[in-house]
Amino acid sequence: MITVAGLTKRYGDVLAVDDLSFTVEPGAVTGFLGANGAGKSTTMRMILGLDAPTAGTATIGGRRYRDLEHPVRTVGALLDPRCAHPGRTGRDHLRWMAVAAGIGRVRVDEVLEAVGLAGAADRRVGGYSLGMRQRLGIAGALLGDPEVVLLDEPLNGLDPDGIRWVRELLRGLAAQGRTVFVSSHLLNEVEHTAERVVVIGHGRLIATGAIADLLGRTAVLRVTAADPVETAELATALAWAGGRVEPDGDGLTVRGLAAETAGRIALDRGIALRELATHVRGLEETFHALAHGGAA
Amino acid sequence: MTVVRSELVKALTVRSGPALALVAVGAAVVLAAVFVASLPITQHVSVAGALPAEVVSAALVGIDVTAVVLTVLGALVGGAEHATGTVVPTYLLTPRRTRVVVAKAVVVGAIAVVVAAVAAVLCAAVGQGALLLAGSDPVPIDGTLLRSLAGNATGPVLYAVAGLAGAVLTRSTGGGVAGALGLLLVPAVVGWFPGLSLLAPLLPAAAVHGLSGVADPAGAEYLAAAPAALLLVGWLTGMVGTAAWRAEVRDA
Repeated sequence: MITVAGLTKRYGDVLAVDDLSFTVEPGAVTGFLGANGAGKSTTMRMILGLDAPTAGTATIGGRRYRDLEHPVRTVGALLDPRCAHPGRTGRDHLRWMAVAAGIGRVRVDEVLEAVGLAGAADRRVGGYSLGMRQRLGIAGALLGDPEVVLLDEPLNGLDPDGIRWVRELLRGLAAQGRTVFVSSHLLNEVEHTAERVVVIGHGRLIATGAIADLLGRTAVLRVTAADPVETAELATALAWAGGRVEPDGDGLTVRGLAAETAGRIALDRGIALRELATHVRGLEETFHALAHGGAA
Repeated sequence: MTVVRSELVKALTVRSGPALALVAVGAAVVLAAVFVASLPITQHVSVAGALPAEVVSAALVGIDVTAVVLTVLGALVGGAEHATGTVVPTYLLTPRRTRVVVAKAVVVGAIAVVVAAVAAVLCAAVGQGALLLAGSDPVPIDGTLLRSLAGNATGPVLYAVAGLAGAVLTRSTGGGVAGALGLLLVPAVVGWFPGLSLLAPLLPAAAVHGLSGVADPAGAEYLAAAPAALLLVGWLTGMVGTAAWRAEVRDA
């Protein structure tokens, strides 16, 4: 499990990460969402001990990354697919990593095969496409067969087959009980892959939880009284219950209330409804609603 | 130990490492031949007319180019990590960065020792060969010659590690090369200012000259072999230690 508590990173006057707290549980793919510059990569770098936090802590299984006994066997990470010497072959890139981690050569061949790079393993990385570099980076992350996997934008540069492969890989890792934490700006892909998300904006936590719950939080109700004369009374009752009510044609648009709650309010008031429908947004719309304060 | 082996694999799996090692040896031999051939111009004496020790000493100046090339190699080992982003997986694999910097220094130092030793032997062989061709007796292979070879070989090792340390400190190959070459030039700068001559025996050049036995006992920088060896170890430790400290405290 990854635990981030009060994590803060300041670069001079710029607050890149601001008092961020969340946990990433094992057994599920957790998406890490935020606009460019929101602080996702900085947060991941602090979790991995590459950058020192200004305040707060980030632990993996209760220990700081640098205090892990076998870092690579505990955490596999891909932060940037360009982090490989262009003059070295893919196999040699993984070989020095394996030697540093005390892992045998056989495992290098295994991960090369697993990511579909076995045929290009003896070519220099400088000749790889971005997608091939992503695969090499993922191979490096999997080298130690880690319990925790952190990937920063692993889908960049991948073709549709590659994206499908990563999706299946991440789900498979989570199904094995591993902790999988993945940042991506491809929100629809995250929606298809992740079960939970952490959403940040301007370095601050906006929302965290199961995707289904978040989608529910930003759902919009369409409520129409059977008798138009009762619309005003219905609007007042829904607003009094905490809903954000807006007139919408002959009915109402309501945010922040579940359909069951709205139906019960109408029933209590004796107002017959002609329409009570929930419009669930996609993750992309939900993300924008959360990021711009439109949730609930 | 795994970190050292890993750094060795890194150094040997890019073309620049082995290529620079070969250049360092080849260029030293060429330069040694040039220096010996130019004795009539530079020293106004032919090979046959010169003292054998002077001919071999002239040939051993070829090792200076080995020092320059190995400085570039050392700087590349440190600087390319940052230029290519390889420093990220490196620090992920070994979060205790001091171990990484020390392992790099061990690998650069070991490569430099081998390359500089080969270059020194070949440069001396050029001098000996020139003496034989000129009909003179070669310099006897005794303790004096071996000390000279060993001492001359320490220069490239020192500057290769300096290049590495500079590159780790500045996160750039260019910074590493500039820093090491600056160190190489310090004795000349110190020589310009009479008051600074007190510093001469503390400079790395004094250690190299003291070890090789070429320092003038009456000169400002003279050190006996033992203090010269201590000074060399001090410089190496200081440079690597400073680079390791910087790597630990800065964000990757």
